Amino acid sequence: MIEAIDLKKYYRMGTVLVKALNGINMKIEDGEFLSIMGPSGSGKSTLLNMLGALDKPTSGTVFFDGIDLARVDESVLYQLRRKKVGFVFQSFNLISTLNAIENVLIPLVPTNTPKEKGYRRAKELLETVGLGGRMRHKPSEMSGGEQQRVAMARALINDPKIILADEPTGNVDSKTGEEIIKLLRDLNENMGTTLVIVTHDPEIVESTERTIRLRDGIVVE
Amino acid sequence: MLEIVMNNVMRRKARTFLTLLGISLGVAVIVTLVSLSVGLKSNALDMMGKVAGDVTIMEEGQMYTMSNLSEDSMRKIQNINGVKMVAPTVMLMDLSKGFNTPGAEMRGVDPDMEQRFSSSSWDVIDGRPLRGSDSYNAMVGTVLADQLNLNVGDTVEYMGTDFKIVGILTFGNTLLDQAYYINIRTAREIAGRPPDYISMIRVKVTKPGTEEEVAKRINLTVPNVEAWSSAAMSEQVGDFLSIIEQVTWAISAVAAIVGGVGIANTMLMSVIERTKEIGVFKAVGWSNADVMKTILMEGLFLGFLGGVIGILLGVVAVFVVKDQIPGFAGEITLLLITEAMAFAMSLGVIGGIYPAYRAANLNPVVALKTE
Repeated sequence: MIEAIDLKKYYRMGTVLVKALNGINMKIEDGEFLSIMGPSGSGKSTLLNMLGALDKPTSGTVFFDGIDLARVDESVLYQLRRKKVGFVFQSFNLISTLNAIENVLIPLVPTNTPKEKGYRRAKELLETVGLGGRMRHKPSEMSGGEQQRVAMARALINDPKIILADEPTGNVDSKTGEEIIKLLRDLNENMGTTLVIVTHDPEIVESTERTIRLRDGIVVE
Repeated sequence: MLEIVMNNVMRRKARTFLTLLGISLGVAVIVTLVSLSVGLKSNALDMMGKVAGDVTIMEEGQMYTMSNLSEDSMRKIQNINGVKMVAPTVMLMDLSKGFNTPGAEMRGVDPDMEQRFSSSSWDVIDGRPLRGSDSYNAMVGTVLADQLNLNVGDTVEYMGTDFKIVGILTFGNTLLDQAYYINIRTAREIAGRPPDYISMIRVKVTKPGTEEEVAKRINLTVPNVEAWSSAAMSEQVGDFLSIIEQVTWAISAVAAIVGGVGIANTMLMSVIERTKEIGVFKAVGWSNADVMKTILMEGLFLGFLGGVIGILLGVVAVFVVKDQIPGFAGEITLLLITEAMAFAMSLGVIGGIYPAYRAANLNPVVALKTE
């Protein structure tokens, strides 16, 4: 379970103080399929980063499975990201010089996972997302939808408890977008992976169990 | 991790190549200079030990072929207290063959006196030693014999005169083994010198340790000569060598700094370009130390490649120098190669420290927003 308590994140942009998050209180139960919606600049991505232990709050905190993220040091945060969180980004963020399977294996590089085992798992995941035949392709040789599916396989390689997807369909056409959402939903249903999607697509919002709407850094409904 | 490191190094091939050029030239310079200065040292010390005898005498202010001494000075020296034995040399240089080329140097020695003087320092490995009755017969040093492919029985031309090779000898010293040896009588004749002419007199002292004393005594009693004890000569050579050694180190230090700055610059650029990727690595659970390790390994890898290329270049350079200056004992030892390799690799790591530190401490959220 993840719980945000009076979560605030302020940062300076030049001379302006931006209140990206201004007192968020929310809870995410294990296995939930949740969407976060709001206009751009409402703090969606910042919130996602906080929930995924990627960033530290200015005040307030996030409890991630009982761990107070505001109080632990960096080494606990990266361990959490490594073991329990999978990120999926709008712009895929694949490494351009590595092929699909090498990209999927990136999270395992600093771990002691035996090479054979990691490779087998990465292959399985790429087959699951429908890219069994494109494992040696570089990102530049794949479509946007294919790249996003590689990114999903990368997010899954550590068997995370939660997937945090930041506008995962923002850079692909609508048909591919539907396929990606379907893959994510299957994951949630079949494996019980908690799923949080940031989006402004109303169709995606409809398909989720619950929606949190943000405006100016606070939850509006 | 290795795949990622190699991929990063190979990503910008031109830049990697230029960086490698910088490191490898540095390493090559060091390998070449160190090996040549070691070679120079062993040559010079060798020469001291064997050319000179305990005390060497030449005309005051003159050297080798320019030096003009006579049998008379030699007799005076022979009678000086503490002198055990003397031997004369007439130095010849055939400049038509070029300066310092194989076969340009010939030494006229007195066969009988030389037999006594040098019997403990030379070995005749083929044929026979010179005799007093030899006129147009020559012995040849083994290095020169190898270079010109000479055998006993061959005839060689020197300053317009033909000599028959009767023996091949070695002093175990590359410089001495690179000359012809003929009867001093004939040497005077072809040099157009009077029959009592000598260019250099070598002395053995009765008691070891008295070389300096005997040299002083000769300088005081015999007019127009300059006597050097082997100790004084090697001291001079030693001073010269230590200057060369210092210059070698100074050049090496500059080479090291240039190579190190090159690596640091390349890696800093590559880290800045890859800011977003580093953000991804951190988002998927890499620790600061993992990021740092990858970048340092990149530096190590660059240093390794630079070291390999540099050592190869250095070896080639040493061979070229040895080929151009025959008898030069440039030595490439395993120790030198190991040191050069360790040097190049530590240069890579040191050059990588700042870029690695910078990358490791990137804020992942900021890094992911970079385009």
